[in-house]
Amino acid sequence: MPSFISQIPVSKNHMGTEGNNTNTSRMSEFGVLEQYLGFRIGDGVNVNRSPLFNSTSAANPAVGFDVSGTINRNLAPSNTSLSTAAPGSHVIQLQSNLVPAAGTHPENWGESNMADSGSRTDTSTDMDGDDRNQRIETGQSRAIAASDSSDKSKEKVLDQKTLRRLAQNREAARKSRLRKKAYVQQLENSRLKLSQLEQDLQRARQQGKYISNMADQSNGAGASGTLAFDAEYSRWLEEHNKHINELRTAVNSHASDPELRSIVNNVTAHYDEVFRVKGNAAKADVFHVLSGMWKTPAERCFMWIGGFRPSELLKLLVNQLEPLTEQQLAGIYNLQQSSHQAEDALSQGMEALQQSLAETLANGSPATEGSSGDVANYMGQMAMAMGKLGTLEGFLRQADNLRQQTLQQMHRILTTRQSARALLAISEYFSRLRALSSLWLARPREQ
Amino acid sequence: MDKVQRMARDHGVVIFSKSTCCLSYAVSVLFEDLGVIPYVCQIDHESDGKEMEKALIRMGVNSSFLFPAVFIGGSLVGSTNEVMSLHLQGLLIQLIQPYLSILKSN
Repeated sequence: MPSFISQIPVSKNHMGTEGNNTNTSRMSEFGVLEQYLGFRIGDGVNVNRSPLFNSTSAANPAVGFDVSGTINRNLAPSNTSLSTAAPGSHVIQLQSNLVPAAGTHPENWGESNMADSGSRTDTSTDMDGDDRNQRIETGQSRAIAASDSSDKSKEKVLDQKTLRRLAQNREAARKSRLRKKAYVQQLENSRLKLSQLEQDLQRARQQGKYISNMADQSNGAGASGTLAFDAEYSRWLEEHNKHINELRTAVNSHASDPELRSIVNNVTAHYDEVFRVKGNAAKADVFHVLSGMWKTPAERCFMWIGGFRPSELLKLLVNQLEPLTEQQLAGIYNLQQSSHQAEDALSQGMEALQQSLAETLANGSPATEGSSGDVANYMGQMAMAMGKLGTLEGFLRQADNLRQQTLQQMHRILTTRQSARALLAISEYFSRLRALSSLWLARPREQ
Repeated sequence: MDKVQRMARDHGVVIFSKSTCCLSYAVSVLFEDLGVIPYVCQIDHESDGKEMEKALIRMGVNSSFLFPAVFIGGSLVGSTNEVMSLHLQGLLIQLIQPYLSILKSN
């Protein structure tokens, strides 16, 4: 750090070996120092008590005056140290990290120091502007020592520059506070927009409308995944209808068991395909699959965790598949009971998840000020909620697994011909639900 | 490894889980519905939870669907998938027969 040593000759008249006259007579040579340091040497140290001035060995001792760090009005006497300088060096040394090296122009170093503090002020908003400026005024501006104390014009230039720099600092602090306020406001607005969008989306979903392609594209990968799933499901449904028509023809024409078994296996494998497609779609957007937007309104009405309830389907089938042996009836009944128990367990798990999620979202205090603490708390809550939402995919996977396993167990219990009739009955049921939806949407509405 | 095996042996039906896993809760609901009160070990509350997790993977639990990990009579059954499949096949009730609670049998 450059240091500037102001060399001021010490008058022998004022500082004898006893030094008793320092209290009564001020040292006129210290005028410059008094002006910048804000206190008088005599006030700062009681030289009468100091053994330095009672020393008889040194005829003309010099006072070594060392000030380190920033100098301000509160500079206590303990911060100053009076010591005997090297013999023959009749100077007072003023050292400060704010004082420039010899040879530099006062205008330049004053400006560079202030500019430095100004740049720091711009980024900090914690300290009150007036308080900070007062510190600068009382500290840095008073620490500036002019090389030529008699040159009043240079002092005036310095003061003007200091004042201008202080004004700039105040302005920078004010702008910084405004920027912070604007940022907090922006966060608040974003949150409001988000909740508004969520409400709009929900309203659109309830009315059974699909979000336009433009909105989907802006939503990125998740949206493209849902669009792909919707298209894939439509294709699956077309193929499924072909398989069912083939099966119906085979049943009506009393095809042989091996031939019928082959078609039944194809239909079963095709059901496995839709579960696989749903699993992939759930990874992209689990809410889309759970909401059932890919199905008709009437189908959605009977939906359970993204699909049909296996136990309900078995209830419908029992009446359709007569005559059944006692063993088959017992098997179907046990399967129905087991699937119902599994459904209940998954339903209770889903309820627990929803409750846990609701508690997580409700726990945080409402962010009124929009401070950084509130934002951090909000983000923490969201991260925890996101983790819990990840379990939704697991529930959908388990529900689909239950549907798949139920169909497989049903085929094990039934004969090939009964399985064929069961698959036709299931397909017919869902086909009628879709037809009901179409009729409902096309119904004449009273004004 | 030893701790996991000891727990699995000492209790009839054991579910290794995490406190945040609602699928584990669903499986325990199923067991309770069938008349068994399973011993649920939430490994995120255990001091050596990480080691237990590694031990479960070494014992053959699918790392993709680690929780719940279900043991019956000291043997690993699997996760939710396996439990549900066994139940639909009517085999789960046979496995838990020795551990049915007195309350249920009354």
